[in-house]
This record gives sequence, structure tokens and C-alpha cells, in this order.
Amino acid sequence: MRTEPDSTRPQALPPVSRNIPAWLVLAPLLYMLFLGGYFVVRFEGRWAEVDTTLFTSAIRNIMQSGHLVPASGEVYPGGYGYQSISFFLVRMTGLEVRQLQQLIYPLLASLVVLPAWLLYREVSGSARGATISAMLLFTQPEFLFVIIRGSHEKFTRTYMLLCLFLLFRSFKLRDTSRLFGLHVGLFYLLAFAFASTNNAMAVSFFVSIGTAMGMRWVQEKVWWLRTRLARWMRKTPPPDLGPLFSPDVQRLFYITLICIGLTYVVLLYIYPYGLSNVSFFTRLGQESVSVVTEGTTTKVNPYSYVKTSWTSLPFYLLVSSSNWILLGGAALIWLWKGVRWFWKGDTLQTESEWLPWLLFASLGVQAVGSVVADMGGGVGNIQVRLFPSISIMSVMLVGPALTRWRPVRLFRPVRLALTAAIALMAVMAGLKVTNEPMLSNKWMFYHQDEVTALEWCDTHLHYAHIWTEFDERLWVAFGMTQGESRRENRYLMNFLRPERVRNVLITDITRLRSSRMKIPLPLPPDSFRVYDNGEAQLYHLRPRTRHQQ
Amino acid sequence: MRSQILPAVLLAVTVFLLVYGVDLMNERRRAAEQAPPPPLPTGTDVPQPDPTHSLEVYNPVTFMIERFLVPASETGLEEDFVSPVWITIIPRGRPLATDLTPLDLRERWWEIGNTTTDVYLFAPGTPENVRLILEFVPLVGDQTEARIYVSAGETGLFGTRTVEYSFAGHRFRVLSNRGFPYIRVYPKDGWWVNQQGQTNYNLRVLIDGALPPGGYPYEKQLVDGTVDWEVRVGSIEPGSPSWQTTLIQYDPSPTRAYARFGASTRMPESSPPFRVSDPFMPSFPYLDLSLGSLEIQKKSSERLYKRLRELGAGINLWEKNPSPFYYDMAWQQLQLKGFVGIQTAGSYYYNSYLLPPIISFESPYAFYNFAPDVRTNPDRRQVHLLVRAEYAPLEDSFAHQTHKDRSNLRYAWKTEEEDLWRYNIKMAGSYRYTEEIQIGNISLIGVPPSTYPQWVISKRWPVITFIESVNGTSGSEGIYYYDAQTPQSLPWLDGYQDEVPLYFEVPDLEPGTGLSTTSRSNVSLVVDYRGEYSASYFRKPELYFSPLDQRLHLLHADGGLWYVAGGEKLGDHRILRMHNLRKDAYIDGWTLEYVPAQSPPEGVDIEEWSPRAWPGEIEQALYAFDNYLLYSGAEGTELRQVSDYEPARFTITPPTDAATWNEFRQRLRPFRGRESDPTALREWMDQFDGTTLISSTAPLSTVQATKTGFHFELALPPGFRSYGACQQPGVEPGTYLVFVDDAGGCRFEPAAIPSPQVSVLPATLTRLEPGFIYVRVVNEHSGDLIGVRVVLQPITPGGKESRTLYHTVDLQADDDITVGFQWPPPAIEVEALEAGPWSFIGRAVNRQGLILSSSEPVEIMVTPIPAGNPIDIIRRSLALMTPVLMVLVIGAGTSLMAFAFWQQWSATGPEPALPDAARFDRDGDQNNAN
Repeated sequence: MRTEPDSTRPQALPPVSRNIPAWLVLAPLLYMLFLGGYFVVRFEGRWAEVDTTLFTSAIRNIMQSGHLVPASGEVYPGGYGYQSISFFLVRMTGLEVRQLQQLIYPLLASLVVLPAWLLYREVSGSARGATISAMLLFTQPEFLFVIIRGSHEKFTRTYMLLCLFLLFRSFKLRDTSRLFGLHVGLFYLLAFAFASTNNAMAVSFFVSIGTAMGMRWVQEKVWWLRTRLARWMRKTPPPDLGPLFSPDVQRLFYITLICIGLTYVVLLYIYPYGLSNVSFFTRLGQESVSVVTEGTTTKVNPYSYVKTSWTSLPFYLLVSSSNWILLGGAALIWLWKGVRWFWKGDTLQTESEWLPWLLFASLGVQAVGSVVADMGGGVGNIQVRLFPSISIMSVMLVGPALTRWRPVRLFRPVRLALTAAIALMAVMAGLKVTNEPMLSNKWMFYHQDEVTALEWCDTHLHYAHIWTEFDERLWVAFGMTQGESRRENRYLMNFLRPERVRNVLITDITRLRSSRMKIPLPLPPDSFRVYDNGEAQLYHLRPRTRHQQ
Repeated sequence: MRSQILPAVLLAVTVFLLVYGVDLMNERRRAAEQAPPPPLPTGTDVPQPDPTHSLEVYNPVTFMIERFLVPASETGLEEDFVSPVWITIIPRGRPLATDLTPLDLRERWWEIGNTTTDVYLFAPGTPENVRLILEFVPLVGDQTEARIYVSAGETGLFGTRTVEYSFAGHRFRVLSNRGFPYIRVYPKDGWWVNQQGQTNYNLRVLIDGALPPGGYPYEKQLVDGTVDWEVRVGSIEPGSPSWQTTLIQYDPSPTRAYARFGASTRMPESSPPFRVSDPFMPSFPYLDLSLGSLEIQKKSSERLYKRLRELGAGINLWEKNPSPFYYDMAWQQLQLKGFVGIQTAGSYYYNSYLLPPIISFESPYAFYNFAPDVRTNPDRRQVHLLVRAEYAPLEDSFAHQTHKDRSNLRYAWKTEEEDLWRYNIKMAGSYRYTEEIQIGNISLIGVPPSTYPQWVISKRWPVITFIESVNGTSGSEGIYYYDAQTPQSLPWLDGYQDEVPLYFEVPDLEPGTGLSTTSRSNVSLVVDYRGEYSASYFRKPELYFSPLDQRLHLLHADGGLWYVAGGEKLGDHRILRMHNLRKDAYIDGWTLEYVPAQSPPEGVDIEEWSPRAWPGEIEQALYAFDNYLLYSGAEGTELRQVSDYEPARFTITPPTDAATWNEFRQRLRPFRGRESDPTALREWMDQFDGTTLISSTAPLSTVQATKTGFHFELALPPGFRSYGACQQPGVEPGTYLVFVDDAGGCRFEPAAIPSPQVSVLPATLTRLEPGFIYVRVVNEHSGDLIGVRVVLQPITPGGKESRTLYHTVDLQADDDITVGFQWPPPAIEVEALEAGPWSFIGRAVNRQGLILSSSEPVEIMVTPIPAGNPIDIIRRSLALMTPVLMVLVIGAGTSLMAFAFWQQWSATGPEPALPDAARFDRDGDQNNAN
């Protein structure tokens, strides 16, 4: 079914100024290089966080065992793609896994700009729109953090962006069989890679396409009803109903079907270990159902970490403001387009118009579901995991709109303000993505002396429980630098000292954090100091019974 | 049209695949979660049948035998008790004799068929109810194989369903389980019984499926043609098995905690001559169809039960071993009873979660009989000493929180009554086995049976309990209660806990008569059980005999408790608590206490709850310090000086062999029947003549032992008497502290309200940094202060009272102690931990909440911690030159973005959008109006 021409489309526009230097289209890429460099330099390469450490362990495990699913040790259930590529890079370059994760990948994240630029060029129809959209996307801290750190998302987001690019482009190539086939084939290849790297995220993406399919079908039928009603009122012949499933709907249906099938193949035959992730969806559904039907919610607020993770809420809102501005803007544009389409009868002409609108809506459905599931408390902060996808879709709405927007009056002040906003967003992104210690309580950095102390613990203690920090900071530092304990020691984290712990590691940075978060050090004052390297001390609790050493 | 149908069809296919795929995913997920089973030690090659033997079926014969017949006249029931068994003999390869009489069939049916080629069907009750099929198959090399077929019901228990079979084409086939036999038995040298009538106990048994009777936890082991277990039996002489090993071959759940290996043997020095039940089928003497424990029949009629026993029905371990393949017709299950016997005299076995040579769990478990004629008298089946280890070496991933070897021992023995356990010692520690033991075909690391008791008693155990079952306990496994190692005591044993587990001093009080009724038996005592403990023992176990109560006690016990029968109201309890006030080797105090009834806390299931032996109202008390006995009861108080009291009449170690066991009994025998009544402590004292030093009609309170003697608080009403060294002229009626020292001195001091001196010592504190604040308490008074709370009241710099901290201490007369309070205190609100001048007030508060004394406020400056400012954070988080680089980098990036945006979002109008239908050139590039 062909859509009707949009009578409200603007007329031919004046040509663009030719004074724009071409290299500026690379601005987002260069910015990402700077940002990646900043990420590394900020902590002199000594940073660690949970997912990065887990993937580091998983990569090392594969390298040591030679198996995709080693018999023991860390195995990532989401997929194997990231580990495989990293394994390849390590072997090719001779780097250590830690170096790849901490030093190289943050810089390599800049390559994500390329597929993003291509996608947004398809959506916006112009190189300028692509550049502006890319700038919007790559100043989103939630998006930046997940692609810069050492986890699968620098690849999975690339796959997602490329899939979207090929999808959009293939709609335009329906009349050119060879190119169409090439794009479709590449799309499924990337979908397969996506499912192999993280099956949960891939399924979310495929489901969003499927949801968009359903919405498109509804959209077409509703439009037909509306048009029929309008014509009935004007007493003109009704519009042709057309086929039950339009080519657009059919296309999306096939895509969903085949992509789900590819995921099945991956889960059932290639990487059955990933089946344990299936329970994630089951629990997600159960939690959501219980919240809706029984009203059972967790007493723990899954978003309470925001308050404790930052020195103050205003700081948090400031550094994450670009997220909210983008999301708010996208929601407004979505509503506005929906009103135009439904109320005023404008049609969303091209797939560049209706597909982003539908994808944003389908992800919105998932976001609402994730909030409901988070209220159930069992799964975790799923909404945070969805945010990068939502950012990508939001930019598809906001970017082109921003590119086309030209206020007649106050153009220069607006231009100045927007430029300042972009600059501010760029700075805030840099602060948030590194969890800037001056503003954040969630510190990612560690000192070499702390690692030395942990090495000493692991060499001299056996089956010991060692308190390291108020959170996972030193535990992940150990995992990143040393891997797993060689002597069955456990490195624990908590605000209080658990009963089983008789060894406490205190470092100068721990003291700083104690002071920052106003939490006392969990150290009995009469403990023995058994190790001290100036920066870090290990204390052993004084024995009080004959069973203690 | 086609374009409409196709999506609908594909949708239907998708839905189908989704549903099917979910099932497949679940199955694969389960499979994916299981690691491949580890390689197992023995091969499972199965000998092959001899094809030269004809297995053509000839004329089967079916008949009924009355397995156990008890006329109604003997039982008083309305009908005769009959347990008929229908037997079908299927001859193969040749026909049966045609002149068989019913008597032949009833009396010697097993001689009619052979044990080489024939098949036997056993159907309890009715002929159709075939529950067990025994098939003999000739093998290559003149060997033979016995195959047992049983079928499992829905519960997974074997024998609960009929076995299907067919005779199609003169061939006998079992249809159940696709024809796979459940059990195969291979005798060495190919015979079952020799000409002397001796049974061949050199066997190899292969089990395809879960160990009998089946079900949990082996429910994943199926009868599917794969051998799941191999059992080996060996004997030194015919007719008497010496050892048996059981080894898992297929482990479907490698991460589940269940037994994977068993090994048992008969200890030569402690085993009576082998005796097993009369065989049901003498030509294949390993099989029996009988009635199990007879509990059903016992409930029906005691007379029936006794008569059946006389007929040899049921299982009575104290008479004979049951047959190894035991079909219980009452419960309809096939059970594997073990060839060498279990839990009778001479039994020594391992029951391990791990595979050898490293073993775990119930390993070893040994049963000793010390009768001099045990080796020749087949009736000597009772056990005199049992030693059970619950062993978890470091390698045992199934054990609870293991990071060291754990050995938890139950050591129980009897004295005069052969069927009643009398004493039990439980020991917990960390001793690893080191000796190589050979049991049959398996070598493992354990403790040899001949030295096992000595091994246990020679070790210094960190935690120990001693239990006496006052009236004796029946059963085959000793006494379950009052364990040394429990989940509650593990943190203490591992050094993670500073306080002694409460259940040692305050155990649960379970109802019952000796056998546990709840899952908390390991922290409980039942009526007529007496338990003593030491939570930091580190000694070899040793006992002593007290002349006061005429009972054995644990040397160096910390205390104990006897759950005495009685109590005035239902649910009330009376206990006799034992004290070791002087912390030496002997119990020196007994208090008979009345513990009122208790209710379970809200939300706790009453079935899983028991009341606890909290301190109750003292009805009677008796203390023994050197030459002094001090009694208090309803009739008053007496202090008596005696000359012939020794805390221990003799010391003795638990028995380890026949000689020490006999000596043990000999030492105790003179005192049997003369044990003191736990509710009559006055009589205990009256066993000793002496001089009364004090006599008062009032009860005493607060008895304390000191380094030089003891003291107690006593009200002296008008008419009290004091004699000898305690005669104090001029002592008026009133409440006094009476001090008695070892040298014989005795003095009275008026008991006044104590008022200790309390002061807070100066300290240096830093906010959030660990430190101590000390409070000094001096008890200048001559009285004791038991259970005094030393309280520290912090006052913030703003003058607000913060949360009080306290420690409970016992102060003796003239004590001068310092109590340390941790700073910052745990769990205090962080907002309250401000820096500045704090004030601290110390107080002493008695048990009733009365403030005895209070110190002057002491000001202590809590200095702020000089950290947390941004410069410090920057300095810590990066090197000196890096801030410059940071600014440059982030500044460059930001500037670039700003400049790029400024240029891109230009003033000359928007860039035209691309047309809908893109035109592409030959290279596929999009035409762009730009």
C-alpha cells in the first residue's frame, strides 16, 4: 500500500551553504577519540568496573581453556561474540586482556560513530542531519558509558545501528533486487552477530521490530478508518482498503520471524549455555505480572542507588540532563507527529518518518514494562539497560527535527544557546562517563599500591574472607589485574563488616570514601596491622577465642 | 491473495515453533546446566550370553505357596493371616518333569527349575501381580547370570508396579523397561551354592537404575541399558561374605549431594559368625520375599507380630541379616539390604559422597562388640560401641562452608544392658584421614577399623559434648542429641564468632522419649538426658565420676544440663543445671530450676519449635568447693564443712576396646542403682558427714567462686545459727555476704547496695576512624556485682544525647576493670558522627535498671578527618601532570563539538531532504541534491 503524498510537505528549500568544511562531519568521531582518551587518561588507565571485570574474566577463561564454554570459571551467558573478537585481537596484537579492556577499547569505541552516522543520514536524509544527530547521540552519558567500558555493547550497539541502517536503506531499494538482496543478507548476518553477542539485547531489539510491525498494521488500519470517515462526511468515495497486510507489515513480519529464528539457532545449537538467560525473561514476565495483578512490589527502591551514588541529586541531574532533554524532546516530537498524523490527517510518508516513530513507541512499551518489572524487584534496573536503545531511537526523532528547525526570529541567540548546550553536554558527558570522583560516590579508579596489597593478601592468605571496600571497587580491580583468587580467598564488599570477615583492607582511598560518604571504617580499633605498604594496610582482627587465629 | 495467506501460515508456524521451541529450550537448558559426568574408575563390561544354550520356553508351571500363614486362632483376628506368593517356573531348553505333585511344588519348588536357564515369576497376592522376575542366563565360558526384573511406579520405587512379559514364539521376553534387567548378578566360578550348601559370596552385581528401592535422590538413573551402579562382594571363606563395595558408574547429577560410593566389611575381631535369614529360594539364596519391618502387622495385632517373628518373617537385625535382595511385600518394594550386614556387631562401612580414594560423609561407621566369645557365638550381634564420623575433607564441595577438613564424631557405648545406649560423646574438629585402607577391590583413605576408637580418643578435640541417657536409649545408631558440630556451632568452630553458641548452655527441650521428633535434635535434649559441654576443649576426652551425684561427668566441662522429668503444669520444665564456677576440671554447682512454659514466636511453626532451657526459678542448689558443701532449698540453707569430699572418685577414658570397656563397666558397676535423685540435692549433701557452719531458714543467692575460696549472699533471719569458723559473735540478723576461704576462714560482711566508682578515661578520637573509649569501674564494695551494665552515654557537640552503648560485666569484690567501647560505635547514624567536642558520661546500672553510680562528663575532642575535599580527590585519582592533559583533552573535544555544531546548524537554510524514491547511480550512491 502506498501512502498518500503529504500535502503539508515543505516546498523546495534554498541550497545549503557551501562554506561548511567537509571534515566537520567527522567531528563526532574526533570527539569520541578525545573522550575515549580522556576516559583512559583520567585514571591513568587504572580503572575497573563490574561488567568490564566480568568480561575480562570470561575472555581469559576462554583463552586458557580453548573452549567457548569452559568447564569452570566465568562464562558469560548472554553470548560469545565479544569474547571471541577480544580473543582474536589479543592474539593478533599480543596485548594483555587487561590492556585491551582498559586502554584500547575506550578508544575503539569511537568507531561506533560510523554506523550511527550512516543510520542518521538515512533517517535525516542529509550529511548535516547525520552529523548533528551523531552529536546528540554521543553526548548521551548513559549511551557513552556502556560503549566505552569493556563490555559487549560497543559491538552490540554497532550491530543495532548497522541493522537499522540496512533496514532503512533496504526499504528504499525494493525496486533494485541485487542491492536489496545484499542489504537484506547483510541485515540478517548482523542480526545473527547481534544474537551471538548478547541474546537478551538482541531479542529486545527484534521484539521492538515486531511490536513496530503490529503498530504499523494498526496504524494503517486506523488511518484507513479515519480517511473513510472523513470521506464519508464529505460524501466522497471511500478509500481502497488494500491488502490485509501491507508490504511494510509483511516485511517487518519476516524480519521478526527470521531474527527470532536466528536467536533460536544460536541458543539451541551454537551456544546452549545462553539458555540460562531465558530465565531472565521468565522472571521479567513473572515480576511484571505480579505487580500488575497482585500489586506486589519490592520494598527496595531499585532507583535509590541514584541518591547514594552521587554527592547530591542536583549534580546527578546536571550531568545526566542531556538524557532527559533528549528523551523529553523525543517524546514531544513523537506526540506532535502522532497528532499530525491522526488528527490532522497528515501521513507519515516515508519509512524514514514512520519507522522511527514506531520504533520509539515500541521501545516505550518495553520501557514501561521495565519500570513495572523493576517495581517487582526481582530482576534489577532493566530500565537503565534499555536506555541506550531508547537514546538511539530518540535521536532518530530529534536529530532530523533539530536539523530542519529554523526559528525565524531569534535565530542567532538560539544558535548560540544550542551550541552552548552541546558544549555543556559534551563536558557533562565526560564527567558522567568517568563517574567523576569529585561529583560521584561510585569511584572506578584504583592505585597500584592497592593492587599490590591485594596481591599480597592472595599470596599469604588462604580461604580467607577479606573486606576490601564499601562497594566493589577493589574487588573488580583485583579481578581486572589478577583474575581469580589462586588461594580460594574471597574479597568482600559491604558497608558493614560481615561476621565471617576477620581481615580488613584499608587504603587511603578507602578513607577518602569513608569521609565522603560519612561511613565509618568497619575496623575494630584493636586489630593487628599485618601489612602496610604506605598506601594500603591489611588488618587482622584480634583473636578472642581459642578457635580464632 | 497468496501474499495474504503466506503471512498467516508463517504466523501459525511461528506460534507452533514458539511452543515447541520453549519445550526444547527447557530441555536443553536442563541438559546444558549439567556438566558431563566425571570419569569413573571401573569398567562396566557386561559378559555375553552363550548362544549355544537353548532358551526355548517349555511348559511353565504356576503354583501358590503360603509364604507366612498364621491362623486366626493364634492371633485373635477374624481371619487367618496369609501372605500368598504365586510362583511361575518357566523352564527353558528342556521341559519340566511331568510327575510333579503339589507337595513337590510347595516344598521344593526351587529344585524343580534350574539356576542356569530357567525363569521364575513371583507374584505376591494374585497370579497376575507379577512384581519380580528372576531369569537365569547361561554365559560364555560356563558362567551364568541372574537377571532381576522389577518395574518402578510413579514414585520411582522399584517393585511397586507389575512387570510385563510375553511368551511370543516360545521365547520369553520381558516387556517392561524395554526388556532391560534392573539387576544382574555374576557369581565367580559360575555357581550359586556349592555341594556343601554354602553360598557363593564372590559376586559382581550390576544395577541399571537407581539403587534399590529407587526414587529420590537417584531418580535420574533409569533402567535404560546403561549400568548405573556396580556392586562387588567378596569372601574369604565360602558361605560368609567379607566385604562389599558399591560404586556409582553413571552420575547424572554431579553437583547434588548424595552417596556415590559405599564400602563395608566385617571386622574379624568384632564380628560374630555370619548369619543370614533362611533363603526363600535356596538355589538362589540372595533373594527373599518377606514382610519388612512388620510395623503394619504390629499395628494390627501384637500376637500376629510375635507369631510372624517366630516364623522368621520381617527383619530382625539382632537375630540375622536379611537377604540382600529383599522384596518387601508390605511396602511392595525391592530393597538392597547389603551382603555383609549393616549396623550389627562387626560392621564397618563407608558411605561417601565422594569417590575413592578421598571419601566423605558417613565415613567410617563402625560397630564393635566386646564379648569374649563374639567370634564364635552367632548370637553376639548387639553393638557395645559405635563410632560414627561425619567427615568432610577440604575437597568435599558438598559440605557446608568447607574451607578446612571437618571431622564430627559420634562415639556411643553401652554398659550393662545390651540393647540400650548409655553414654555418648560428640566431638568436632579438623582431623584429616591419612591411612590407606583396602576394602575388597577398592582402596581409600580412612582409619583402620582396628584402631578407629583409639584414633578418636587420642585426638584433642576443640569442641565436645558428653551425654548420658539416664534410662538408656534403644536403637542402632546411638544418641542423636546435643551435637558438637551443628550449623549453629560452625561459625564458632571456624573462628568467625566471638560468642559461644547459645544452645550449649541453653539447649532446646524436646518432648519425646529418645528419638528425635524435630529437625533440631542436634541442639536439643529430651527428658532424662543429661548433657555437658566444652566449647573450647582442645583435650583428649576424659571423664570422671562424681561422688555427689554418683554419675560420670566430662572432665573440664564448661557446664551442662539435665532435662529432668516432671513439671507441675503441662509444658513446664524442670532442669538440673550444672556449673563450673571455678573454671577448673570439675562441676562444682548444681541448680534445680523450674522453667515456665513458653510459646513459639509469632510466625514460627510449632512443629519445628521447642522451648529452651532458659534460666528459671531455682528450687534447690548445691555447691561443692573443696571441703565445703553448700546447700539451699525451700527448707533453708546449710554450709557444711566435710573432710572426705573429693570432686572425682576416679577418672576414666571412654572405652576403646574390650579390655577398656570391661574395665569401664567394672568401675561403674558398684554404683549402679545408687545414682542420686536429681530432685533431692539435700540427699546428695547428706552422703557426707561434717560440721555445719551455718544454718539458716532463708535461701542463699549469688554464689561466686574466687581464687581463694567462695562467697555467697545470705539472709540471716532471727534464729540463724553459725558454728565453728563461721561463728561470729555480734552478727545480727540481716543480709550478709559470707566469705569462705580455702584456709578455713569465714567472715561476714553486711550486704549493702554496692556503689562502684565509674570514670571515663581521656582519649584521642578521629571522626570515622576506629578508636576506643575506656570506662574504668572500681568495685570498692565487698559485694559482687553480677550482670552489671557499664553504660557509656555520648553527648554530641550540639548537646544532644546520642545512642547509649553498654557492656555487661560481672564484678567481684575489689575488682578494678576497664571496659573498652569501640568508636565509632557500629550502626550509629552517620549524621550523628560529627567532629567537635563530645562529652561522655559513664554509668553503672544493675540488673533491675537502677543506676548505681555515674561519672562526671568527660570532654573528648573528635577531630575531623582531613580528607574528602576535591583537591585531595584529584590528587589521589591521578598523577600531577594529568590535570593539564585532562583539561586539554576534554576542552579540545568540547570545543570541537561546539564548533562543529555551530557550523552545521547554519543560518542559510535547511539542507533539502532526499526524495522518497531514491535514484541510485550504478554504484548505488544516493543522488543528493546537496
